[in-house]
Amino acid sequence: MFVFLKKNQEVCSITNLNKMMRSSFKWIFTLLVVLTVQFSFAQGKNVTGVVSDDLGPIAGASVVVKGTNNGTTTGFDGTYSIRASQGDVLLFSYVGSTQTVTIGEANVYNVLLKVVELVEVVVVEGYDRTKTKATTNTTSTTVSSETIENRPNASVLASLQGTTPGLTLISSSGSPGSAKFDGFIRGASSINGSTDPLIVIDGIPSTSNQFRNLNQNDIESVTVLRDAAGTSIYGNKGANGVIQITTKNAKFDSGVKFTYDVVTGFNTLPENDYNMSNSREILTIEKRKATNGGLGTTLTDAEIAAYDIDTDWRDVFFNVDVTQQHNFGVSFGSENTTNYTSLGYYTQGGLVPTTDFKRFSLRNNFQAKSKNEKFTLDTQIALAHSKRNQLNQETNSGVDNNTIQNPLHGSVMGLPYAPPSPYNSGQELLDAIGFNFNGVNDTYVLQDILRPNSLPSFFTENSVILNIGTAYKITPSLSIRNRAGLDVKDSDGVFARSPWSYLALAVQTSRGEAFGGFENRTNTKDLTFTNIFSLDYNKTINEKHKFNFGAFFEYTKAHYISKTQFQNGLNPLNYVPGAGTGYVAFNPATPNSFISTAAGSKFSGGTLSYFGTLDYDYNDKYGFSGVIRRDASYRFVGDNKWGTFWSAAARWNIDKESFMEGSSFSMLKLRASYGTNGNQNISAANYGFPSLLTANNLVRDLNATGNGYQNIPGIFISQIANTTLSWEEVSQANLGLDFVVFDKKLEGNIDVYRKVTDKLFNSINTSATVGTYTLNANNGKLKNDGVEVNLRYNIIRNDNFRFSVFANGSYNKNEITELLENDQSGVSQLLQVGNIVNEWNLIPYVGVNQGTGNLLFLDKDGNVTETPDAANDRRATGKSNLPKYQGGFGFNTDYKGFFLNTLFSYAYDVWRIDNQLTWAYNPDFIGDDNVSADLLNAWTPQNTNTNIPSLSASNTSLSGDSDRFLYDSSFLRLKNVSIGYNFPAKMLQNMPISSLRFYAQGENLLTWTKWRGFDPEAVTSLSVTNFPNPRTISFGASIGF
Amino acid sequence: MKNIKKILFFGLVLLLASCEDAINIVQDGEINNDASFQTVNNLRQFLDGDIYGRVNNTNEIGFTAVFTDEVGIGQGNGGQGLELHRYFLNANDGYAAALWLGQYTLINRVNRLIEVSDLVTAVDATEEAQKNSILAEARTLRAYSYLQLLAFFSEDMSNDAELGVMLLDFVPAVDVKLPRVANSEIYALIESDLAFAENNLASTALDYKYVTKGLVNAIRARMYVYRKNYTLAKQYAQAAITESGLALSNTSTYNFMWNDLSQGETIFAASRPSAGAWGNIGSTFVFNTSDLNGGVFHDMGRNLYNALALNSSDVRFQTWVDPTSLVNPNYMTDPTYIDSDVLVINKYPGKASQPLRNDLKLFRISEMKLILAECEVGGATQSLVNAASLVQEVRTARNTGQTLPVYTSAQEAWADILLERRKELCYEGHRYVDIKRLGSLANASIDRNQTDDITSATALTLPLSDYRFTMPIPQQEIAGNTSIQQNTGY
Repeated sequence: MFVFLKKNQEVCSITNLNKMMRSSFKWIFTLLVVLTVQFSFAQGKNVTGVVSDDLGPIAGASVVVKGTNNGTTTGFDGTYSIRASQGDVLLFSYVGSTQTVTIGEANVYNVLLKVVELVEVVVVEGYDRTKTKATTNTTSTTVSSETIENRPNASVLASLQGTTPGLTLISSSGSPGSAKFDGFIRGASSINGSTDPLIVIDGIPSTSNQFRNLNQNDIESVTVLRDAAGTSIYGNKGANGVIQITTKNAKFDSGVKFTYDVVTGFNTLPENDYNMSNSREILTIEKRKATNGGLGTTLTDAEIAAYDIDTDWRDVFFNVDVTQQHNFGVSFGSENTTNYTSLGYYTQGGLVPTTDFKRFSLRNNFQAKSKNEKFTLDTQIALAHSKRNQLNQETNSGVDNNTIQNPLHGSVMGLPYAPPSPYNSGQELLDAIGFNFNGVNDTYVLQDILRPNSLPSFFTENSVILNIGTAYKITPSLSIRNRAGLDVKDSDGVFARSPWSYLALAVQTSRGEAFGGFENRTNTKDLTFTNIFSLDYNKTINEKHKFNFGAFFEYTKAHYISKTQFQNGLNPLNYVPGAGTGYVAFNPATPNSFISTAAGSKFSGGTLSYFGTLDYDYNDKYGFSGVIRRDASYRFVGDNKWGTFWSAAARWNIDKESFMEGSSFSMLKLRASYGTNGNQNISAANYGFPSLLTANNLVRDLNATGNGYQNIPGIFISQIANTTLSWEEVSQANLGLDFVVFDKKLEGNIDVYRKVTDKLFNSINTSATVGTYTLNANNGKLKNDGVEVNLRYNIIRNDNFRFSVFANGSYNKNEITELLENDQSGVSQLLQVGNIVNEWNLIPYVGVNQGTGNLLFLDKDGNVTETPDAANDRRATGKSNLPKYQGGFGFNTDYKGFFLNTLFSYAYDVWRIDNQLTWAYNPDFIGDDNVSADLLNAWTPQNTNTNIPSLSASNTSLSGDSDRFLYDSSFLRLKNVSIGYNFPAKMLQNMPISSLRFYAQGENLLTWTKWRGFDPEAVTSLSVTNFPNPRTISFGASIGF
Repeated sequence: MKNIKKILFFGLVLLLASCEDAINIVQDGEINNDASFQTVNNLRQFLDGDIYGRVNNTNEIGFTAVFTDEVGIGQGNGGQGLELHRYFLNANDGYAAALWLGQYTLINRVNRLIEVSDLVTAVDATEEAQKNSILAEARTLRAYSYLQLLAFFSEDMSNDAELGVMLLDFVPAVDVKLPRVANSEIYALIESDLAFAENNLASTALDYKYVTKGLVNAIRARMYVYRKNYTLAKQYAQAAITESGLALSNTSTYNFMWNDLSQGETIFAASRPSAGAWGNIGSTFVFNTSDLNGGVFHDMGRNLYNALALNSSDVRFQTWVDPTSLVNPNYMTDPTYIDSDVLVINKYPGKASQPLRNDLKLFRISEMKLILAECEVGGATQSLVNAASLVQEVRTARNTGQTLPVYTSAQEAWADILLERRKELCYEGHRYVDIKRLGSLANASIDRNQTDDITSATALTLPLSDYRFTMPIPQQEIAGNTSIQQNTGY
């Protein structure tokens, strides 16, 4: 519920200014002026001053010459500077409080605005409903633009990790512009269904799960709703929690303002701790292994000691990449209209040189109100175009553990004693190695794949978001509203194997064809239309009883169309990726070659809901709210089509009681809520696919036509129906305490909750006689219990120095409480009653048999064995890949305009199998791949006291059934640090700019963890599939004028 | 005010009515059974679409090769099949799960075809005959699937009272939980399916890539020899040879059968055409092509190679060992045999424009001949000489002018038949079942060379009493079917 970095910037008195310093910045200003457009200024004199409230200077307060469009905003230090004439009236305003000053002869006017109560911070509750912080019944946290702006992340989602208790949002790919985010709020509330929180942008619930085209600098705030009081209003969509994104609007009567932000950043790949061998080490290991071949077996010890080549494949495959952002914004506010327009450009080079991301974005947010304020209108229009080059791996998890196609994997496993590929083309490589991928050859093939245009894989995305909200006050207490939203995306993709690439030539040669290569072109369009119509009725009785009733009607419809054309056979003479040139036509004389295919798909889906809300407040002291909602989904049939969800919540503002008078609490509020939600996204959508359109016909028995035996057209069973399919039902009880205490220095909240998911969407295991081992169904019950704490302490708060610390943390434990009868012996990750979700079920690994060098395990009776039974000797470990504890903390400091802010994030009690290390430790790979130098210490009859099994141990392959590579993926990470300087407005008064800030930022700079892999920050069970989050250092400037 | 309320109310009702399109959605192009099955030809399309394509012994081939003595670890091995090759076999085995599911899915589809055939009324006698022939083909394939299931999952196929597999002769509900039944019940279904097929198969059914009477009898022959009913096995093996009209391929035509240029002596092959998304059986052993540089992760078991190489003019040696193979005469002493002794399996080289993809030859004349040989040894009136002459017949077809073997005891005869089956039927998914059913008669078991693995710790054989000569019921079945019984030892 905190607004981060809220007006906590510092006054910098003009007397403290160092003239030397000012002059030294002159050249910078000159540079910046070159960048800016020249503006004309009103006649008059320069008026300056500081706007503050009783807590100190206010940043972002509006200063307008009354009756004109001439206005400005106070800088980070509360200072302003404006041209005005004697006799003009200056109107100062900030969050509801205003003050006017008539200009006299003086040039400096410091203004003290009426105390702005923290408790009046607005909480967005959804569907255009807002509450003050004191009167909300919900558990929510608001993250303000300061936390998000100018972070070097293509997706806003990446900037939220660590800012909010109970929220996990983790990217499983460091590829620029990646769609791969896994998120959940308060633990995973589903097993097979989607756990992604609902994302609401400007009041319209989104059906998308990727936001690469959303410019994060356009975001005013992000509010995360977690308890049923907050989420129930989203009925069938809000079961996994809600993230509400509000984009920036200009303020009425704020004049014209320009902002320009520029950021340049450098990304690097994090290190791993696998202790991979250098040349001499791997040659020695090969020689010791003896049976697996490899160069080492042919060299003498002396030759190995003198061996010189030591290739670092990491340097061959990865680069430092550069990120750049430019954002230009104009906002304008008159008495009855406001407008905010921004233009953004973002570019990020990939760590892998053939990958990158570029985005242009334009946003226009407009508000208008009629003179009598009865009619209001707001529109948001966002247009964006992005283009990205990505690895095949990004959309093809099949090559995750493929040393030939995954550079991350290849850089670890590549043999360091071979020089980088001496072959200059795919043909040269083919001539040299044929189809033999042994030894370093696979790494050479990878090098060929990573040549520009060898395996092009690029995508463009055009997106349009249009929202229109209108409201009309029929009477002072009754209004009607309508909000309509249209979200359109159009993506084109090209994935090809160019005919000159090694892979194309190899396939061409093995098939004996005249031309090789293929090109796959895809186009997808998706469109979601949402309309929300509502009535709002207010009634106050005796000035103490305040009632509010709302009635809502919501309609959502989504459409998706895809087209694919696949061309086999490309002519290298004129083939250009994506150009359609060089396609080789089918020839009946070679009936099995150059076969091109076309495919398409089309899906529609929708939901319909109506719901009512009731709010009651007694004298700001007690409050009650309730929601009841009827939801229908196209996914279900019969009685399951409509579901009813509801919530009830109450609060007690204890500080308003007479017995609290004189206490140090300025707010003390107890909240309680209980409610239900449905999750209709019963099947998690693939990254980037609209969540509303998965599982779009599971309730029907279906057949399909297709390619049958002998390639004759045939009929197939394509789906076995589950007509009983239904919503997942999530019910949640929450008890919370909000407080502001000690002269408003300490604020925070504490929540405890129990969240129960019933009719869990989960595969049911079926007999093979059904024709499948698993079927999508409702099966089971899951419980998530947790505690969340969120605190901010403003330790020092004076004119020159501000220092505040903040921390949030959450504990969440889940347990499966009901499931259909099944048997889980032999399964690595359990789904079993009484256990946690995905609980690791492994055979204990106890070390090396000092007599034989084999691995030792414990069987189910606790006896040491070399040959455990993978089905029967497993045991539950109490560990899973879902974190039990997580959160973030940090501090904000500001001293005379210099600021230093940090955000640390952490997760604790997370266990994942490091299968990348499994490979690095596998003696079977010796001779073919690099392995960890730890294997130098492998057991031999002479070296028996070791924890590394013999290189010829007979049961190494059983490691995968054991906990040998189960690692603690807990971490503490310096997620973000920024350091910089805000120039005081007075220093800028002779400049054509009103605010200026320089800063440097670091993202993921430091990490403390026991995890040996690249990146502990992940929720995937295994490591090899994860492209790590990059380490970024960036530099930026923000200018306002 | 009152009017406003009325307008709002009616507006809302209208809105609700007109918004039903958001929640009553059927995706374009969906078809159900009624729409799919209107004519006899639709039944044929279903048979072609969802049944014939599922006829598959890839899992049997892969499992048998890796678990027994048909392959060694190849130089390109990145962990493929290592656990199984070292005899770690349990209910989590991927082959067991895939084999079990694959065969039961085919059975499920045949049951569905039988069920939906009621939706289609034949317009005349010709159509009625076509319909019955379609059902006859489907039921033959169902019989084959059941036979494969029993071969790998029944602890003793020759004992009718022994626990068999689940009997599924209907379209099950999704929560079906069937126990295993006695072999005899499964055999009864197989017998009735094949009898129906015999009576209803169209006389025009002659294409060896589809069900023929030759196939019907070949399945019977294999079933009865597995059951040690040598009288019927002999009768049907002879019938299979007669009905198919085929003879053993000779040394000059044999190799054309393996790259799918001719039918040769194949009674039935599951077609895997060059175009389309079909599995590549050759990928069981190599990554890319069946030659030295093709990514060899399983090469030929050294002892099998030695058996084939004994006579270098044997067409099987010439055809199935790729000429690019590295043969190291000192393989027993060279520690780097993994790189110096690479025996590339070339049984499935692939076909035009499609390396590694070959038709799956499920039944061949040579198998029938060797079944007949078994019948001569095991039958009521034993004739070791007849058995010897049948084995000789197969050997001569592969290598002209082979002498008649002399068996001084039944065990010698069994051992020689088992050896000939090892050579003739290698990589066709027989070896595991053959050792299990003939091992004690022939006094032979898995016979690996020490160079078949990269560690010397792996045993070179398993005692015949080992429980692992029956596959485990897969864990995935157990998870979904609490009525199922696991095999002994797992």
